[in-house]
Amino acid sequence: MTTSFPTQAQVVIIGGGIVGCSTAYHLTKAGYKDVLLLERKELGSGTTFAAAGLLAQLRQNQEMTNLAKYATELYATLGEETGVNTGFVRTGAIGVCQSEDRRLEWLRGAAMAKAFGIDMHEISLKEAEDMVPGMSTQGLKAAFYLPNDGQVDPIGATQALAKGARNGGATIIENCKVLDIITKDGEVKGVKTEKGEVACEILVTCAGMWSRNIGKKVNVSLPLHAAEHLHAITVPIEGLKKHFPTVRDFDGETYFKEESGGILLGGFEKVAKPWGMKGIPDNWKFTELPEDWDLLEPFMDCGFDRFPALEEAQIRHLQISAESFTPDNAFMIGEVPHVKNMFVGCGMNSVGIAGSAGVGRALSQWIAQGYPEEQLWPVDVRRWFPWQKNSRYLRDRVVESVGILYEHHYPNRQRETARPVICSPVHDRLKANGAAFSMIAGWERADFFAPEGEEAVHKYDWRSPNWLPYQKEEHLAVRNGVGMYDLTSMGKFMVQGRDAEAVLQNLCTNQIGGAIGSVAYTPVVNERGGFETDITVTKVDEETFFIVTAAGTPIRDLDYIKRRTPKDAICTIIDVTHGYSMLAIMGPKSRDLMADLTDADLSNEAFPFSTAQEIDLAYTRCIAVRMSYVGELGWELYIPTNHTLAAFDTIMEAGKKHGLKLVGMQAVNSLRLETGYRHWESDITPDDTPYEAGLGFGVKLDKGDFIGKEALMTQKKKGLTRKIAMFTLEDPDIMLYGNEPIYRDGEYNGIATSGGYGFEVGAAVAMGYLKNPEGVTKEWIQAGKYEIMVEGKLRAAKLHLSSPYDPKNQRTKM
Amino acid sequence: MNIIVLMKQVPDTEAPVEIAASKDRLDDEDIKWAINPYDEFALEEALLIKEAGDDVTVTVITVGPDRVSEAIRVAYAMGVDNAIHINDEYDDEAYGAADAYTTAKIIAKVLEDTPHDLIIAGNRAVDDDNYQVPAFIAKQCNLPMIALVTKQTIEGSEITCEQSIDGGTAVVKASLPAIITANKGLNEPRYPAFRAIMKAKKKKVDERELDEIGFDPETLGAAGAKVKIRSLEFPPERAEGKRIEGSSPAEKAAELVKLLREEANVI
Amino acid sequence: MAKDVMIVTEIWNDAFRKISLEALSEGRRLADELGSSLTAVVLGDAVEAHAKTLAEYGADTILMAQDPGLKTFRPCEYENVVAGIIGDQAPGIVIFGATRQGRELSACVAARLNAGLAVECTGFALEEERLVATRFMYGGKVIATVDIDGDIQMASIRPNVFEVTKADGAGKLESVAVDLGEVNVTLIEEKIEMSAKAELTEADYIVSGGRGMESDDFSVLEELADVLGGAVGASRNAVDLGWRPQSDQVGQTGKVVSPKLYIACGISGAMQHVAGMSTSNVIVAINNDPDALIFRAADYCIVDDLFEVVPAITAELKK
Repeated sequence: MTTSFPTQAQVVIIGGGIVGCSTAYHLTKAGYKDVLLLERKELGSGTTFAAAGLLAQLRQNQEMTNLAKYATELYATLGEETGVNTGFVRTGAIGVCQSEDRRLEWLRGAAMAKAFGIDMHEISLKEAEDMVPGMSTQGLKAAFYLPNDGQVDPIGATQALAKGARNGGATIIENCKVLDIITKDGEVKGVKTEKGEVACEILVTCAGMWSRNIGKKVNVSLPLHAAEHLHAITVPIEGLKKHFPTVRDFDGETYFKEESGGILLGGFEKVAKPWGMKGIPDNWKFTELPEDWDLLEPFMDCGFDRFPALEEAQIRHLQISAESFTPDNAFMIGEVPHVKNMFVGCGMNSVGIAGSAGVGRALSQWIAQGYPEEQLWPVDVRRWFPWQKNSRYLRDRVVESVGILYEHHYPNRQRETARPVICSPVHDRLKANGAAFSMIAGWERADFFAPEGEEAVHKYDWRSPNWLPYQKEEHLAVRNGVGMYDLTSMGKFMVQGRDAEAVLQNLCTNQIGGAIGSVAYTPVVNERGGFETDITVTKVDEETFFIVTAAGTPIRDLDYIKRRTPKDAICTIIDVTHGYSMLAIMGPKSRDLMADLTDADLSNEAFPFSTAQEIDLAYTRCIAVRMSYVGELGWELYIPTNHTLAAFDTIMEAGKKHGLKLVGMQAVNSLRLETGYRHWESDITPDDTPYEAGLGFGVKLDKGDFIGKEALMTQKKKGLTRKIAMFTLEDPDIMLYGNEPIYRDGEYNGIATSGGYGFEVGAAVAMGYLKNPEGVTKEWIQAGKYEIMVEGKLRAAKLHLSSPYDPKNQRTKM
Repeated sequence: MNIIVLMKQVPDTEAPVEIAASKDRLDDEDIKWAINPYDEFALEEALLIKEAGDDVTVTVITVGPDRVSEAIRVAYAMGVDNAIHINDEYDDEAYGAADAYTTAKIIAKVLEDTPHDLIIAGNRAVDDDNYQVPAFIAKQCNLPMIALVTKQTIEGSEITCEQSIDGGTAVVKASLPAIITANKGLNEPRYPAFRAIMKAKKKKVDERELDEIGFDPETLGAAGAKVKIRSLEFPPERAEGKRIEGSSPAEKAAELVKLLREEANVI
Repeated sequence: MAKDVMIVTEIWNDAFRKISLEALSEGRRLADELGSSLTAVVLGDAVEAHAKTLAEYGADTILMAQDPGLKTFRPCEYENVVAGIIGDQAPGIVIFGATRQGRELSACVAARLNAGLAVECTGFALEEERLVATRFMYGGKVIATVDIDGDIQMASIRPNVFEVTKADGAGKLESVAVDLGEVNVTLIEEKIEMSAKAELTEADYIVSGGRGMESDDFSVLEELADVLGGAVGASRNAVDLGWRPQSDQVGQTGKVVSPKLYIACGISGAMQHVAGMSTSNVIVAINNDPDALIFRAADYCIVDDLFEVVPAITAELKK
């Protein structure tokens, strides 16, 4: 039907799938009237139509769970609001466990769900059978029930969102492919389409599996790759209950729902079939891929076990379609780095229907106020690196990405495909020393070192993963002797120019303008006082600053700093991550070892804590920074990358005399946890302020103006309503991994942001925020009796106002 | 009794299609394929005869490239006993598109040494819409043909069929062996069951290459076809439609009639 | 000298089918271009009264095959007779109408004569005196240009595509000797309802109903079809639900139609349905779902309740 084609709109959305329509809907709710959604073919015809329409609330982390939870609220009422049937039914869901180990995972999941406000509880197998007539629980160990999960008709929901958006003033144009994005000076200006150009202020890409190529048009990394994904629908089967709760059998990688009197059986392929290597056909529209019955086979045995009637059930429809997956199975949302006003909402990893409502709402908030209501780092588009749009990497990774949704979510579970990507210069040396590697941001990092004769592989387990004893040895070596770890993966920037100090002072809460050679740990907070990042800043000379940040955040940090660097400032920022390696030598005996490697004076007087010097080391010159992430005396050595291998060998040789031990990331994490160091992304996020995080020492309100100062001053004056605290479990045999609920006086209060084992203190350690609307004072905190829920049971926990190990932080200054 | 079902794999009717660079055929890749819907009636009818009678063997014959194995798997899962797959997959671009004539020639040749009392085919394939293969086979094998059958009964060596004809139906009979073509209404085809699909994977398919059955591929495909596709193109796209507004159904109706008379000139 | 063009005509309900006249008109055009003559073949019991009218459509020669055994379409008998005529006359081009009868007859004759047959053509061209045809494939999703091999080029045409044009032909009537030949299928009984109503594929106006009809009561559509002098069609959904006979089904797995006007009522617009009617001259869609896919195929769209709109159209037309 003819409509005139607009030449401008305030917001243009690319993509009329359920996410694009949800974004349009929520933008109109947020007051945006001039919204134009462009769909290349027809609403929902990309991948939305192929979805089973499940609304599962519990996802891998709190952020994604909250996004998914909202779907069951929105779709419950959207039909009534718009008059378009969304097919929403609150069916509930049952998760079944074939093994005791899986039950442990689910018990932890249930505890986590509770913390996230989701009802999930264990039910008897008999109860499960009663709820799902026709289902057999033979051979099962346990079942869990989520009464509030639901189902929706994906196309109905998409149409309802579209109707709601139109009612709110949005324009939706179908059969209009976007050909290019127009930018000027790093800002979005509009789009070129088949039907003409449209100028816009804000662009939102919700283009599903097409997004990677749309990102490429403006050189933005939107890494996702399509894989084949299927479900099969049977003819009606007698005795089934209409709308029975969705059944998920994770061990069988299979799920079941009722569909027109029959069963819809879907699965998450353990080894997925990548698709679309040659591009996505232009005429893709409600397209189904060629039948491949072999793809269905892995799910049939599970199908027969759960629903014996399936054996003889006729398959009315085998639907194989394509869906796109990201390298880490999380969505990508937010404003893309380095292109102003270009937002994305894609990478839905086959949970697009469940995620659609939350993603659309979060995007509308992000666009309207500059940030989402709840921080969303795990799904933030700024977590991607430019290299991640590499198509071969994505193709190889997607093989694993589909099945991982139903895989056992063991702690520290590593991906196995598309590796290695980035190796430190000493990678092979570490490997020769028995390293088992873990990966972050593409970097291979020694996770732990297996002793000679032991296989250097991860063997996962909830209670006793194979690396625990090795980790313990490495941990204790740092506490009592000397250890070395390779953290070349850390993000590193050089900030230079006449205005460099002023720019950084405005960004950092701490004083970074000390003497040359001074090193400051500093929060970088937003206008609300929340952590955008935390970094160490070394003043190399009057106009040069060396910044170290986490391995996973350099793109985000660079983007954040660049956006807040005044256009006329004489200040450049360069990512030098690959220019320097970083070897950390830590432990009470580190000074002795260092003395054998350098002539520099390493005494407290000549080289105090929180300072840096360029020193000789072996045959090289490096920046030695006397800081520590593990709470011991030590130096972080930033060595020109290609000098590193030789230096490493010399250090190892010299280390023999001092009992130098190589240390992996597992031990680094337990060391930092025990000593109370916060980790950005879990312990500190944009929603947490330095005061709440107990990092007030990093805020200098008297140093002059900086971003977030006002908010922090106000908070300091008003007092806190939430504050981080640390805990150790009384029972030394119980493990913590983070995300465990913390109870105060028998009531749920907060969640563990980090968890691990403190080998020096001999107990599992956790930290987490305690909250009290009346205020969290020291007295209030100390007055509570604390317990942590582990595997469904409350465990007594001891409170630590400071860290369990070295609470006065003296070890680093030895 | 030996029943032969002629089966063709065709693009799913809801599948969008893409024309290959050579222009004389479709781009095979990423098309969802399905058993020709009329062949499903044929399959079902054969299976119903088998289930009602003693000693009935159902053999499916299909001509097509490697991908046809998915359709064969479904046929096995539905319940056929044997499958003969004449693989016409040739890398040679010059091979080109077969037509009804070359396809029928291949099948007729296979039928020479395949026992057959009754051949059931779909009345047409919904891809090339040729309506010709059964007629060619009937001629080449000298069999009576009954087209557009909606009901059949076999007594002794005679088959009696109801067939759709203009304005109604006819009842006709012929001696076996015969070939009949299935029309919609003949039956309600079954779907393959889960277990059967799994078992079907293990069934052996009688795979035959064109040269094995005595054909020079050069005489088939486009070279042997009597109707040769010169080029394929998409029909011109229709202009976007006009939405007729009005405050009441009557007003809309009046506006429509006006437009049909004055703008479209069709009434 | 170029070979003749032959049209195999079809009589239905005591008159030539429109498609036969369409074929003749196109045959005349081809014969003129070739500089050859146009022959019409008429089969039936007693057809002379009809046959002579074909001169008005350009037939130079009208061959009548008359025999009680040819009163209605019998595939074997017809095939034997037509194959015999073609053998005797040796035309270069033989064209049928792609009707129920034409499709089967043309296929049998082509098989018998080992001739190439292009089915349901929508256009013809001549290149070096050889026929080149265009025809739809894949349910109307693709148009193919095809060459037809052999001394006898056979084709059938899709109804309602070619114009009927009057032309003066010599109109020489000739009776041919009929030999019904060998027959291997025996007719037991025939149930035929001759109706004045247009056959779906030949109708100029089609009013079709889908799932939106809600029941087998298609009376509002029938009334509109009557006023228009057209026929009623149905979507696959409506047929599968048992509301309409299979012979009414429009679509890739039903009939492919190209009327002057196609009115789709309560039809969602699945690809396979659209494939069967997309070549209609004008398409009207009536559906109360503004997002129905059918609107994308339509020239005129009415978003409203069909049970109110359709009677209103009927009333408007009666005015």
